[in-house]
Amino acid sequence: MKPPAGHVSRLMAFRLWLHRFTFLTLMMIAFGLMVLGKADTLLVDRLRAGIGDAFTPLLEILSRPAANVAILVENVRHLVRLRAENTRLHEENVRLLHWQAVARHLEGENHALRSLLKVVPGPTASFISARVIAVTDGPFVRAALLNAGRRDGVRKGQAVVTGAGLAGRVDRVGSLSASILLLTDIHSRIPVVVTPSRNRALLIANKGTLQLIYMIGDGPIAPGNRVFTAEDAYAFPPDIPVGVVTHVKDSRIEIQPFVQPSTIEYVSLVDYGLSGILPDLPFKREK
Amino acid sequence: MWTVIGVGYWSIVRPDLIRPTFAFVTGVFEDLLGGAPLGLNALVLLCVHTAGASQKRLFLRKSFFFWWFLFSFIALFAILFKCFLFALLADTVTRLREILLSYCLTVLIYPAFGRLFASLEVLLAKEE
Repeated sequence: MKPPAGHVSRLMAFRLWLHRFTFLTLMMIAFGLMVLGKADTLLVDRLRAGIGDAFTPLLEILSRPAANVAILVENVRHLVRLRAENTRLHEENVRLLHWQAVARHLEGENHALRSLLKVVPGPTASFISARVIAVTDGPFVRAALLNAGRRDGVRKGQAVVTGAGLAGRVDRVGSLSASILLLTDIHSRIPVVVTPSRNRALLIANKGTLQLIYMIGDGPIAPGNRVFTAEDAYAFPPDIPVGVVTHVKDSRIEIQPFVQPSTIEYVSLVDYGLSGILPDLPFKREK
Repeated sequence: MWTVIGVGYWSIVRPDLIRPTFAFVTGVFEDLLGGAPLGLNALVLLCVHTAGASQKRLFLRKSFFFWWFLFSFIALFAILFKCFLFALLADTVTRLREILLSYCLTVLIYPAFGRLFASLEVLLAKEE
């Protein structure tokens, strides 16, 4: 039996009202979440870590085909430039053999001088290797998710490195996963030292480029100077390669990082036992 | 911006399947997993869903290129809205070149996803 026309229109009106109400409610919840994200970062971080843990097995499975495709593309690229690469490697090998001799000489000299001066050795680092299972490399956020977490010994603040240099730092730690804040994220702040001048500065990402701010030291800075992590504030282990100075104009110094975040697949987390980055506060506060 | 393509398409074609709540929850998960400020993508996807569902008549029985053309406006709205919200939440302005790159990539890959979704839609219609 068909319902009367008046009932149908009332039903339609109710559905329309419900639809509008849903939209408004969800919009208000979204604004509420934004306020919550600003007000209680600890709770949101816990939530992110929990969601990261829950999705880690799925993302790990999904990331494997993507990684295989990336390897395939890279292999094809290598094949194309095999001849040129071979010549370059031959030249590099000759150069490196020379540097090897220099390094051995310096190593011996360094050892002799250290024993002469009774230098206290620095802390030894321990490494945890992990696979990158998701990368967010957009205009708004630059972060990556790793398949190692608290149970593997990952701690907030650990430096994240690849073979080329520093990639970022551990930002959030879940039980099975950890999120890293890449160097190129706008919230990234890395204490660095520029060589050979030994000027100290803070490396930040500003509108897509890495820049040095709060420079301490009067030494000259020129394109080609190398930038390493500094031990300031005990946040990072010293002397991890970060990048190279590409552009110097007035007070604006731009850096090209050694690590391209979008291409990282495996990373090492360096733990020197430093305490500069504050750990998360305990979730349940004592009354 | 991948989610904008999905939510944008299905909110026009099958708003009965992709409800505003679904778009919202997808956005929340994207925020939590991707590290964006909480609520950012949730609100953007909710607005994309509402825009798509309310303009359904405009899209129906039109050529694919017309869909593509209209989607480029939805994507533009989505990314500009996202920039505005991000500037408010993170106190920073995103670089224009990166925004343009992200927008162009989203619009350029739309046909591939559009074709895929159209095939899926036919399959769903057959199932029903």
